[in-house]
Amino acid sequence: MNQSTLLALISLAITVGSYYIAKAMYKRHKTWWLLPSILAPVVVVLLVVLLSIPLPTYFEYTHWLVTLLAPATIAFAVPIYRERKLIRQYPLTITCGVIAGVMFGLTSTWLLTRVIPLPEELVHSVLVRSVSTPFALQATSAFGGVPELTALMVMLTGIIGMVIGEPLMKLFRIHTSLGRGVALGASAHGSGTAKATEIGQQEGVVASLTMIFAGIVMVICAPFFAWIFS
Amino acid sequence: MQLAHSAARFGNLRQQSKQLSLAIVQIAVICLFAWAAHAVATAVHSPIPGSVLGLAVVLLALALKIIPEKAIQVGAAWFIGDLLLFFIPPMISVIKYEALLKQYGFNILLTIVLGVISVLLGTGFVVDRVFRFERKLHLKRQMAKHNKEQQALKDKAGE
Repeated sequence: MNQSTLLALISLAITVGSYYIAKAMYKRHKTWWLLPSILAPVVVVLLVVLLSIPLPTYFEYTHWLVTLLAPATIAFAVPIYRERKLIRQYPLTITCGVIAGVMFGLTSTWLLTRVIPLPEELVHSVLVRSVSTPFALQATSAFGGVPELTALMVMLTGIIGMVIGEPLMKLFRIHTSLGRGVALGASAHGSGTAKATEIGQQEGVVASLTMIFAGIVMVICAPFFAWIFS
Repeated sequence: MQLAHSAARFGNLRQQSKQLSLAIVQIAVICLFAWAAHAVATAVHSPIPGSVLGLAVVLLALALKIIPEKAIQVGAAWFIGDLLLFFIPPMISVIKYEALLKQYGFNILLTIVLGVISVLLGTGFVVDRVFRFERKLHLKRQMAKHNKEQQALKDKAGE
């Protein structure tokens, strides 16, 4: 085995390893810096730099992990099916929530990038930040975004939403279970759903539904949205 | 006692390995779905990506009971539970954009923090209102149904 293949295998091992270790540690101590979405990428970046693994070598095998985002998208059919009762019970609330979430996400980000100076590639990559990564990576090309930067923006959105979501909703008196669940799912996708699940069962379910539907809407309407917000 | 304990542990282990092999098979099946959906979407030049088409097809199959939920439940749970693992690699490319991120780090954070606040509060306010309205609608419908039933009972008693 040559050195490059070995380094590529090590890259895969440290990626999978640091993710599962971070996950196990967060399960024991729910501290923010042990969040797998923070700890795992930080550890992997440090190791890649320390071992001076070239990026193409790093991606040789780890890019297979990214291809799993497509089957992961399909897997979302199961929670939609399982929670069909809630969808049938509150179709109006969920539909309005998804539309509001996608529109607030796009317009607020678009307006902010008009005011806050950012380079072109970041502006294009940050627009889809409020939907879950598998959908964001599909949609971002329509906006001219860079997939890697998009992934980073989506992740930052999730972490920030998870941290400020609950206190902010208390402060602004968003009280209903569906209000809180939809708001968290629409603003912070997967991380928001995790937070919503901590708050309550119904909050968690509706957050995950909102996250999935918002992602689907974003992907399907991406060419249209890109035409408006450009 | 010791024996019973280790037997239970062994049984547990067997259960776990069974669960694991079930998960692996289901993960493979979902991957196969994804590959087929991608192939079809590419072949027909679909504007909607294969993964979203696949989601719609699988959802339809679940609703029509063509696929039982149990057949993909464990695999789907793994995909959704460990979603984060699949996008750690793209985040590692931040190394490539180090200069850009260092220069604009503060602006990026500011944009995202203000953006998250807008989405959270905007969506929260809208949904709070709509949910209260829809809940009231349900209540009214239930009341109407209840009244109707009461009326029917009264009519019957009157006869």
